[in-house]
Amino acid sequence: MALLRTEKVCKRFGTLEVLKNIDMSVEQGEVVCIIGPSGAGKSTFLRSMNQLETITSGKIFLDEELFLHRENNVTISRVEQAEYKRLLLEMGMVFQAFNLFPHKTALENIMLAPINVKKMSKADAEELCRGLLDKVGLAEKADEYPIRLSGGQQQRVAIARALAMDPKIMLFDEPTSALDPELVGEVLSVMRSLAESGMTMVVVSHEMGFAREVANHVIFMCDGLIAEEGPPSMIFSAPENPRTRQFLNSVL
Amino acid sequence: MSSQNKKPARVNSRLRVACIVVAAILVIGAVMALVKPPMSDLVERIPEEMVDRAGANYSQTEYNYLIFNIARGRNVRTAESDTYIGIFGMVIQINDGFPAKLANMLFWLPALLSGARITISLTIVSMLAGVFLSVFLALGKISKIKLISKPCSAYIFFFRGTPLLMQLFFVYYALPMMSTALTINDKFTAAFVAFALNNAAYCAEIIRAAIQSIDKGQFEVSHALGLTYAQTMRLVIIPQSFRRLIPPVANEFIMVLKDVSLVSLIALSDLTHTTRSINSSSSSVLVFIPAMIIYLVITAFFTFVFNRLEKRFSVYQ
Repeated sequence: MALLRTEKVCKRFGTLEVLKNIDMSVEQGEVVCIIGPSGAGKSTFLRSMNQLETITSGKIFLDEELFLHRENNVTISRVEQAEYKRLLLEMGMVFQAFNLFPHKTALENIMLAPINVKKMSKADAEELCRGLLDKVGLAEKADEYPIRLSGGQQQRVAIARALAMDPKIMLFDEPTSALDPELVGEVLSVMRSLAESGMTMVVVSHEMGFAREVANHVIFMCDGLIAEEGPPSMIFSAPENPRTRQFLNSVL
Repeated sequence: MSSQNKKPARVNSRLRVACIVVAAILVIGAVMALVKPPMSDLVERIPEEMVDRAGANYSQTEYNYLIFNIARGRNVRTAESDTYIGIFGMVIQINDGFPAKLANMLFWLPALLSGARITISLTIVSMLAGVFLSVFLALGKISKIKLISKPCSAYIFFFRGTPLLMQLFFVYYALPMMSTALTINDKFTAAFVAFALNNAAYCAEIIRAAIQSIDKGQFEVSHALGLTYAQTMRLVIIPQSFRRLIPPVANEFIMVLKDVSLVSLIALSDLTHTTRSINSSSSSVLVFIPAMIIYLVITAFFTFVFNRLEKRFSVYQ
């Protein structure tokens, strides 16, 4: 059963077509990596999954339920409001720029949404969030403000914050692109252990090593289209599309 | 860690010096207060003969300050006067020259201070009301709903686009002519209404700018975490904009403090109005000196308070 599925998703900014009929399906427990040159529409696609961008046309299914259907910039159908909010929370998102709340400590950053959105009690939330901080290896940084954490630590807090809402799918939008090279490893290892624990993940990334080793499915996007997709072994060792080959040659 | 550890140490040593200075001033003050001659000693010195000569025109002023006493007998008609100051256990007569001028300022001080009290309280209450109103105006102006954003923009446009003095005159003189329900007889209340309304427009723009300067990613992550718009504003955006708000709001506060002098034109006895009255009744220009010093002291005090606030809210930056 597909957890997240899109049908003919298109996105236009004015006359610029960023996404052209994207079909994608993510199964429970699957790790999908989206790779491709910049400007290919990878981030826009990911962002339109949890409604940070509004698609021009296409259908998005969550849990095999039609979440959103739009044609020509008009919403044809959308799940009712309560369900919409619930389904949105099934997707946790991690951003390239971390976007931690600078006025909250690491622990408060993670606790904010469970307390205010899930109406969890403060004690329960604290227990949950300390556990998550421990999981990303930052238990001793609970009371630090983001400014005093390294980029890698900030991104790990951001991952814990997204996990605190207990999502079914984690969306990663270039999670390591803003990091110094020596800090990339710690974030990738957290993501790797998350994948091993069975989390469904969609990762937009330039980390080819991660895509090759962790992903079950790799999508190569180019000019708003899925140029090629398949298991990493196929994409990385025997790409069929010349654009894929050209891209992989330039990054590897 | 090291930079955080050094800072309190420096603050502590400065705090210690400040404490010593304050303690020294308090001790000297206490001694002076104990040894100041009683008021009766001063009043006794005023010659009977002068009192008799002035007759009905005689006026006597006594001011009891914490560390000294001052008394003056005066013939109001001829402006002949006899002034005594009691300080350090001594009674000194000061009738001419520089000391007499200085003593004059001391006699003006109570009136000036009560004027300053009006200036300060009007500034604070109109600023508080203005900031409170402006939060709604700012949120209204950035609202996507036109029915809310347009009126808020119009309000800001109107109050920033017309002179504050005109708005004050309108509230105090024109509103009572329009309706008895809108009549504000109390000068202070009228001034408060005009200043609060005007202030709200300026602060709204400050708040709007502060909110819009917050990184877009903060809105995005709040959306992704399922926060509502109101929660995003209350928990994420507004707390972050606080620190950015303090410098322009402090600036606005000091502007208002000085703009409040406009109330002298509806004859509310603020510091400026009091100064002008003393100036015309005593025909002395010297009164402007203590008046301006009082303004400077008030400004310095509030600048200090706002700087402290700014530091307080900078912990995470």
